[in-house]
Amino acid sequence: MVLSVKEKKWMDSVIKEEEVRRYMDGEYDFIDDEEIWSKLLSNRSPDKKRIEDILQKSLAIETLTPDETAALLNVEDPELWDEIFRVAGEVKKKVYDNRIVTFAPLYCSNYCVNNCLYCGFRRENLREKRRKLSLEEVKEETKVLAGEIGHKRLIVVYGEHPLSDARYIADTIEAIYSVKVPTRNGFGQIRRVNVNAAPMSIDNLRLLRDVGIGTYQVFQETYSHELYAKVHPEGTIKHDYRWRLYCMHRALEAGIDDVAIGVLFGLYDWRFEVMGLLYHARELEKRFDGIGPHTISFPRLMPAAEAPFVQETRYKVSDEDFKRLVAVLRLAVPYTGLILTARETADIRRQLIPLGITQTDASTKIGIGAYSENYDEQEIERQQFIIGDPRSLDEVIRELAEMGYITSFCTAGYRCGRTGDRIMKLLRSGKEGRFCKLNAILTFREWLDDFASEQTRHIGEQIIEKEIEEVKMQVPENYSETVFNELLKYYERIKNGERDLYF
Amino acid sequence: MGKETSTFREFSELAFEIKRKYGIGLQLVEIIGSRWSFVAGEEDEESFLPPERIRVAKRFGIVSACWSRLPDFEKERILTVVKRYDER
Repeated sequence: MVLSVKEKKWMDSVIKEEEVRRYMDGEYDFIDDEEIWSKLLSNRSPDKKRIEDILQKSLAIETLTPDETAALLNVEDPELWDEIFRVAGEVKKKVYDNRIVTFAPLYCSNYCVNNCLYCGFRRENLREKRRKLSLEEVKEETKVLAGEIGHKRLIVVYGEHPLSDARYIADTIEAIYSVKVPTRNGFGQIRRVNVNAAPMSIDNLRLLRDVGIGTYQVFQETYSHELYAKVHPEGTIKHDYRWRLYCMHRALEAGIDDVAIGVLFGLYDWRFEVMGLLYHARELEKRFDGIGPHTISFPRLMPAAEAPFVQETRYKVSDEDFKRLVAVLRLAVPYTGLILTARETADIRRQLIPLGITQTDASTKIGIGAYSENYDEQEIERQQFIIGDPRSLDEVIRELAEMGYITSFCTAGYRCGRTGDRIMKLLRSGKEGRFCKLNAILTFREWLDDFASEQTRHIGEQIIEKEIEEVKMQVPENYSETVFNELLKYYERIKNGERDLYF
Repeated sequence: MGKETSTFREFSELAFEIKRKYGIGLQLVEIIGSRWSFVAGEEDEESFLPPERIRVAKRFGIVSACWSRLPDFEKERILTVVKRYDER
């Protein structure tokens, strides 16, 4: 597909070289491919004692060094891996308690000027049906998500194109926040809008900040400089590795203090990519007073229309290695949220959740307009890729409850100053997990009353009872008597139809 | 590269003093749509009580779990400082 003059002109205006250079150390960025390989090589065959020491450091919620992370990645002993998996789950519980946060993606536009070899949105994919939602259509999608399914948190997704520029993104965020829908016992509303969109300039990021964005999420896709250049063809915006690499620096400078990073696993060696994510997290911590990534995502490459690299890659990640990389991420950056999406099958999700996952999506549809148009078949011409777990939110929540987890719809943190370096300190000290526990109980109660099937409501109430009992058991060590009594009062108020009460 | 702490030094010092005198944590936040973004302040020790959100001016607010426990004259001092930030 040939680019129009308007598209070309717009593309030329996107990258601001000065907004890359200002963060760089001379000619070098913070990803040194050779250094990563050398760390992976020099930490081969780590002994058991060293691994146990590293696990203790993770349990103290300290970010690991590259050498320590490389040592974990080089473990071969299956028993030691079992120990790593166990401790990863323990670290998650310590930081985030027993809750899993759910969200849904909302794809607003699939126009794209880029041509990434693994992506269904690539501009040369002529089979893709292109569409951009109007603001009215965005509201219609939101009504279904917030009023029928019961989501409180979205990740909105856009291709990179002048039709879906920063102004459009900001307008869609405002449109989503404006929707309030009556439900069985209260009302439904999206309370946190996170954004997955292309890297932007500081001025454009300020536009997003000013409409109350939740988290700004950009995946580097691969940290390998060489492979990055290959799969993001020359002449596209995305070809510029460093414009993408430093977008979180710009976001933080623009005042968006919750940022999220990720890798598309399967493009390159998974151990290298985990190291890349670690280097990225450490760079942000170093530059921004301890603020690291709010979340890390690790999608695996999935079939997509007209995406040649999906068949070509030598680096597809096996299920076993996938479990390992998730556990190592949990241990290497212990404070961060880990997002597992419906790209994966239900079976894989069941296996991964105990390894430190904090967030997952459900009732997921990734076709443009798919929620309000109510079509359930996956259509590769309308989607970026094919999803592996199309189960409803109700089904996913029921299964999580059967596994012993409470689903949380909490969006309190960013609405009461638990952001930036403050949230980082609260996470590292384990205090945020105590807020998580209380808010999970309250928001889960809301959802059960407003949206749950009878079957899910039944098991959900058992989980709530167990969680309230656990809070009670933690008085006075972790919670005061006053806090426990406040929890019970808030809980009753929510049962009586009040909404959006939080700690 | 983080928030310009010198800009908010007066609030930070005041929050430190309040914490020392009353054991109450105060956080200054910047209000950006539904986001109340942390700027400066002190943590409550182990309270975990529901946060009170006080919108002081268009751009800035206070979050504290124990705001109502503060004497009125202290509240006034705090509000005066925060209002000045909004005027800048």
